[in-house]
Amino acid sequence: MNLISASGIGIRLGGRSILQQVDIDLQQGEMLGLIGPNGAGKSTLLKILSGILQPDQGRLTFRGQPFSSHDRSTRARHISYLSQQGSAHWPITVRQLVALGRLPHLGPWQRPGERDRLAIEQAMQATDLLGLAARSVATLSGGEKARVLLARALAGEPAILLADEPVAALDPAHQLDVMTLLRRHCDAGGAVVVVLHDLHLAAHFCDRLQLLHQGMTLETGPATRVLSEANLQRAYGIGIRAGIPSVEQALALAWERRPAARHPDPAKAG
Amino acid sequence: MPEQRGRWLEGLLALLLATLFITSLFIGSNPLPLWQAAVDSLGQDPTVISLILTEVRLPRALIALFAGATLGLCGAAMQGLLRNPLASPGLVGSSSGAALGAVLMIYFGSGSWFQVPLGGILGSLGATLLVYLLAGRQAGSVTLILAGVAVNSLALAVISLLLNLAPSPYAVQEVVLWMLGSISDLSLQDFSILLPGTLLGWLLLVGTGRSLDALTLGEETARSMGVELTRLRWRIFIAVALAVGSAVSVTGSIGFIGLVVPHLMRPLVGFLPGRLLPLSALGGAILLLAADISVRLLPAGTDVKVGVITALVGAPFFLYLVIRSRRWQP
Repeated sequence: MNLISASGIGIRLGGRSILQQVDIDLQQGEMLGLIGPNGAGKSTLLKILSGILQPDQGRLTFRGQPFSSHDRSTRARHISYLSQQGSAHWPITVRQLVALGRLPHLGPWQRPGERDRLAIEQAMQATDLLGLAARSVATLSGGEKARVLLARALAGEPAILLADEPVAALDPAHQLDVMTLLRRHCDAGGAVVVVLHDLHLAAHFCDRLQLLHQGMTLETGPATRVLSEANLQRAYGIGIRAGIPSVEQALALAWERRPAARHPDPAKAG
Repeated sequence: MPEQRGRWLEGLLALLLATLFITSLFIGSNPLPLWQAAVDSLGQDPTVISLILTEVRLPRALIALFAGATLGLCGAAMQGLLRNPLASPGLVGSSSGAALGAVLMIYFGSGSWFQVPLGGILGSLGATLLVYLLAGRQAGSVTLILAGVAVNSLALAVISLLLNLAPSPYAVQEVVLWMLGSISDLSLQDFSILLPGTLLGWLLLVGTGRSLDALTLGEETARSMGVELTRLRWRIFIAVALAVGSAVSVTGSIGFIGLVVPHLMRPLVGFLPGRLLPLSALGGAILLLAADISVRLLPAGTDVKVGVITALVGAPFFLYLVIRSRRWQP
């Protein structure tokens, strides 16, 4: 069964049509990459899936039930949203920020229990943050901040993680780390929709890509089909340099994460 | 663990508050044999000391406690909601709007007891909404301060106009002195006027802590975490209007407590806005009681209003915050 299924999504914002007739499906264990040029509507679609925005047209279901049949807090327990320009408005500690991820699970008067503590601990371990737990988030680097925000989303133990450009501010090593974490979330039975600009990362890590262009789906399917020369030309206006025989070759990810003494391998950390 | 330190802190502050409350009953132009006064006031025939206790000292201490707690609590709630360390009832128009509403009712009302606090509540809500609309949702400190200055000036201008046109010089003097912010010469009846709106406002703020915590991550993320943002915003605006409007209509404008107290408490609870709410209420009550006691310790004959004292201490602190807040704002 589809975890999320949306059909015919359309939305106008500020008098401008942002999305028209977009369908999107997400299976359990699937990592779906949303790609497309700036202004294609990727972030807006993610906000609709997270319940932040209400679409003007279309039907949205979560686990086969209409979206509106779940209240906001129930949805928040199952769907976590990682925003593009995430930040903390108060200089709280890393552990406090990650712990905010448990809020959807707590009643107004309920104090965090053992299960909450465990989830927080696991999220911090997976994102390699235990050493920074007591640091104020105001003093973190861009890469550290991105990991803290991801840990917050993971701490809620959501079925679905919606991540809007989670690797935008990161160096290549941390990009691989974050993508690996998202991948592991899917392999552990969750599902991820991730907005990416890096087509190499998208092709390498995602099970399926959905290419948006001017508020509509241009193509969806495996990377080899979506990232065809014709599609890239049409959506981005870019071609593949002569001398490379195939799109796959052009988009092959040439990096791998090697354990370093300073920075333990996240695949082993969990 | 910060959790445990918080509980310990709350206990300590509650103890300090109780001490100040009792001290406040003692201190005045005549020292009061408190035990005797309490016993007398329970008896059939009131004595002079029991009358001083129940008619003068007790209302004054109670009003300081409730108004101070309201200002601290509402400051913390506003700062959490707007994610801005400079937001406070005085800055976002809640206090000046309440003063305007109350003055309007003093002038044009028929004199029923509920009209002045009602005017305060409505004026407070109106001015706060106006500042919020002017500044916009994502207001930085500068925009918020400018919007606050504009609305506060407008409210003061209208009050000045009313004073200007007032037929009786005595009425003018009375309103001006009330506006300075004072809790002397108030009765238990004044306290009962203050009480309903205050309690309703507090009640509305109870349980908003978690949502304010989530707002630390920004409005969109908070919504994705299950916070009904529009409802939360209205709830806090109405709560602040109810509590601050009722307090101001009795005490006049007592400034800076809502700004200073959350700031002093914030580092002690690790900066999370939710945990700040109860502590700021305690801190506000402590600060206003202490300020009121200090006013009474001044040499006899110098009638300094407590609002003047809080402004004298608070304004330099505000400047300090303006300078410091540059570090926090993105």
